[in-house]
Amino acid sequence: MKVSYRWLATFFPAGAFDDLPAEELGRRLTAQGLAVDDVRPAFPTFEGVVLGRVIEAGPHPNADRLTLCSVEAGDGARQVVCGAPNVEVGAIYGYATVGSRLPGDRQIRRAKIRGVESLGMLCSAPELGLDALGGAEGIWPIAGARESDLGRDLRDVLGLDDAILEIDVTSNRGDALSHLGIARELQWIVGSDLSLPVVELEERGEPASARADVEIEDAEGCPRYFGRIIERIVVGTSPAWLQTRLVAVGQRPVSDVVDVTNHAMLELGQPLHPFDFERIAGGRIVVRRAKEGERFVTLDGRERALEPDITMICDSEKPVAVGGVMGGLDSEVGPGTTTVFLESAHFDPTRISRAVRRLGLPSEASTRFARGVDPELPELALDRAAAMIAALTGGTVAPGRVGDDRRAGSGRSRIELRSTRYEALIGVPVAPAEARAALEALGFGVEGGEGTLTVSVPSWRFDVCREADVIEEVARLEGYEIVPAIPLPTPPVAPAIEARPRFLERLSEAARASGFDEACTPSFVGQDALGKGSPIDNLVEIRNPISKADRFLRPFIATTLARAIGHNRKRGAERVKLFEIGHAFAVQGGEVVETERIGLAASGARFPAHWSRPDPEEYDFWDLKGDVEDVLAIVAGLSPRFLTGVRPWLHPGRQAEVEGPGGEAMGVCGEVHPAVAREWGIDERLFVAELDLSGLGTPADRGRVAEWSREPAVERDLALVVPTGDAAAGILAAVQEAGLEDLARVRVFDRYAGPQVPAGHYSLGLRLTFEADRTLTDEEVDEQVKRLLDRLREERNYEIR
Amino acid sequence: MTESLRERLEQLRREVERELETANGPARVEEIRVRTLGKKGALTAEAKAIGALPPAERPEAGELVNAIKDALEAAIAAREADLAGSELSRRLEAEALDVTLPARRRGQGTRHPLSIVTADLLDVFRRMGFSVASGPEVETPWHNFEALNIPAGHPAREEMDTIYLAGRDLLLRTHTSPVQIRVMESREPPVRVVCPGRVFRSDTPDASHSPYFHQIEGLWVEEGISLAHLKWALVEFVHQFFGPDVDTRFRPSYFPFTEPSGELDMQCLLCRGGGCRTCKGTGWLELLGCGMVHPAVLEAVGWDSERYTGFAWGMGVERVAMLKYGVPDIRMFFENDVRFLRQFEGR
Ligand SMILES: [Zn+2]
Repeated sequence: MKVSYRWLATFFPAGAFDDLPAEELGRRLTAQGLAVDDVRPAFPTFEGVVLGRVIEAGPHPNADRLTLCSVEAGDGARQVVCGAPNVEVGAIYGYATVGSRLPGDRQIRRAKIRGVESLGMLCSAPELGLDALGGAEGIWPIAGARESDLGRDLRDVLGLDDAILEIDVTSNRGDALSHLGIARELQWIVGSDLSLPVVELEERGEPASARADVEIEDAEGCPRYFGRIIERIVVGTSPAWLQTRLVAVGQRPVSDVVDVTNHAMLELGQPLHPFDFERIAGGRIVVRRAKEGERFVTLDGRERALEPDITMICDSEKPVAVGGVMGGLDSEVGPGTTTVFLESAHFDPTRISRAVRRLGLPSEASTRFARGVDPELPELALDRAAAMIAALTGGTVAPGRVGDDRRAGSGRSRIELRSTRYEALIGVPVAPAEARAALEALGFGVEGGEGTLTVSVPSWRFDVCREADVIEEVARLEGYEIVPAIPLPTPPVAPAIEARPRFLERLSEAARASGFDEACTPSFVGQDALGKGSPIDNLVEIRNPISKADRFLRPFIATTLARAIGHNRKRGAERVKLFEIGHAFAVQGGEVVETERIGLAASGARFPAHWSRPDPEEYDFWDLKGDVEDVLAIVAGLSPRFLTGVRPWLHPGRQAEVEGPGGEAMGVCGEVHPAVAREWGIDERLFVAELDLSGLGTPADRGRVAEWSREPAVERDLALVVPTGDAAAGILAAVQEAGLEDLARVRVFDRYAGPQVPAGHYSLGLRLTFEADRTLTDEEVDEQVKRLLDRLREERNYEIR
Repeated sequence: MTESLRERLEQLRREVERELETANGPARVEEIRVRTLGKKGALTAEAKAIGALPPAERPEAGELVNAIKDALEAAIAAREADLAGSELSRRLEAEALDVTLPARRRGQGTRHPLSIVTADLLDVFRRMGFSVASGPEVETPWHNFEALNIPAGHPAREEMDTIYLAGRDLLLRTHTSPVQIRVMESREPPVRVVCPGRVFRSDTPDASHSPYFHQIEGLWVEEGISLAHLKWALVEFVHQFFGPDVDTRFRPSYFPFTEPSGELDMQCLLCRGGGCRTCKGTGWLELLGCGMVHPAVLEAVGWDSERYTGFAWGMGVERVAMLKYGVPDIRMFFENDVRFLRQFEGR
């Protein structure tokens, strides 16, 4: 929120800010909990520009487009040549005298223009850097300037020497969204009490109650509603000082009536709404819930569907405004309005924020109501604005407010503040007198003393509900800087080294050791996450996604990693290996299941490029499987099993389900189906693996270390001829199951399919290594090999090549 | 007789020695050896002839022949070694490499900057006595909001820009604070935990916003803990992580789940407090939000809020990483360009 330093000063006696320049004020507010992000001048600097009236104007003798003006600035007429087409005799303008300096380091000198002397210049708003205040076309007449202003410095007349504080008001402090709210915070800093603006209200004519009445039906949504009638008005533009105030804090001037309501909101915090009274049928205001299916055209010209938890302001026939949110097009105040009905009401924050969400209509007013406005503010704000409207538009205020008040009780709570509790929470005591002074400066009522203070909360501090809140009020005014730093108590037992974080750290190390760079990919994917046309039943859908396309949570980290691989391959990376440890999501049995996973993805060369290998080998399935085995072996000492897989998004012949030693599903690895990879923008072969980590993390107990043989080992190579459908894993298992006493290891050393073996078969070369505690003889080993071959022939019909 | 033998042998030796001198390779030396010392060699023949000598002359002749044989064998071996030596040096010379050519690296992977920063942050807090806890990214509104004193309709709840799951009363956690609740629900006081994790907001991505990012949350609850402990812990953290000379500023703020609440600013690392673009001219950088655990939060998990007090804090990992490594755009962390990632090798 933008706050004007000058405007704040109006709440305090003259001179109260003398020792508090804007920057210092900002620092103090920040230290008190109202973070001031920025302090800057409200307007560009210029000097020597005074108010001057054009008393005569005539053509320039030597130029058609120029005007010869006589300008009176309080000390005699001066001749000024003006190039603007809109010079008006009698109007008052900003007059840059000889020697003045304008923004952009422009200096005004005595000059001859087309042979005629010109003493200074009449200014346009852009020339003064005040585009927001005046039009861009021609010179800028100063609205509301008077004869007595002639010769006065324009900066003083408009109040341009001001600083703007940009304050980041936290969401609990709805009360601080106004100059009054900030001024209340300043009482402690300034050391004097603020005074509320003086309302000079002159009531005349027929009482308002004779022509209008108000009835609240929806007391929950709007407990308090007041209005005043201001009549015989002529809607026009606001005087320059008011426009300046509004522009300084970022508000666009509209018309005097609207500007005054905005002014009251920015000054006091109470949003107001002006209606054209002639459009209020029957002069009657009814505050009720919207009806089911009801529709309404708001100020912005859009028709909106309403719902019963939206509060509507209605006349005797129809809705005229969405309460606290936005007015209606029909009852808007326009140039032809002669009588205004000014609304000042209190709306329920929860109901307002719901309405804003339903209608998608945030506004300055609804933002304030949603955060909460002082429920006791409506009357003051109403009177203040009515008086200003009357003064600016020449209208009169009808005697009396009309209204309805359905608020139950004053709602002011009383809270006990124990000094022991203060010290327990803050770590340092506070003197009761000090606490009392701080609370009173914020407008709290304080009774008692010694150990306990009884505090009554002012109506605008609805955020203060319990003792801790009061403690914070005192502590922040005392300043957090004075809180000492006390070392934490040492826990009796140092925290255990957590198994899980340590496991994840090791997992990351293992993946990096295998050449994978760690990535951090999005959690969101599209419905084509696993290829176009893949079923989405098991994807977890987001109700309000950032982008419609990516409206699911990733079912596999590998899919988002794959996109990152594609990104890098497209940018010329020849070898990309990425991994990520993170969460993936699926719907299983109707429930959302979230698992912690590691995803691996690789594409391109097997090794980093090297000049000795001009044609690098490509990463392939065996590399992937090896990487998976390496990672699992390093972190968990696990030897997983690989089973033929059938996932449609992977290559039908190059994928495996990964199982733990106990047969538990652990994940998947494989080459991505080329059609799917192409959808992801990757034309090269792409490999992915993903492992569920939930079952991992506690290292498997693998018993004691085994003794090993000191005798020479004996090796035998076999080439088995086996049917193509028999998987290697099964054959190796069969060899183990044969139970040869001295067989230590089996290794596949060759695989061959071709003319040397019968059709429909392949040859699998196995190297058997025998070891024992004694020297093995050839006979012993041969006997064991024979036993194995007999068994394989008998049970599986395998032959030897 | 002996004299003439001596003469012949001396002559043989001179001849062989001369030939060895000019022998240009191992093959030639071998040929000389065979011709001299082989079965049919010149010296072998002399040795055989000794048997035909009168017995009285044999010992002297034998001595003579053996002496020459020893001398020749030594000469041949020396020449062989000589030749082999130069052969090896020739080979070694031929094998010389240009060691300035690029190496063949195995290509180990690098750690993501967010992981590095997270691990470093956790380390500091571990040393203070915190242990690490984690929780799910998909949360219930209870854990993410209600238990943290953010009831429905609360302005802070509206400001969170929450991402919800379709057709379920579940959401993507907007902060790591629900882990506090899960930890307190599952343990007895005291608790001293730090909780790293990914969080989500419905923010349109730009240089400083991402719909997913990472936080670290801390919670310390036990009897007798005050704001003064919080201040010590966090200032200590800044000094350990960013350096002992970095100034801090502790100011009041607002979070629904802490009361009193505060924010900790640290001196801008770039301008050292003088004011620059990174700190918007203020000389300060917002680092983290913190406060004393709100009694309503302790009550939500059934803990006695009169007996136990504690503090909590939370900070953005990306923000710290951006400061630490001078990363100008938060989206760089999630683009995963290897030219970015590989800059973190060894960090
Ligand atoms: Zn800086």
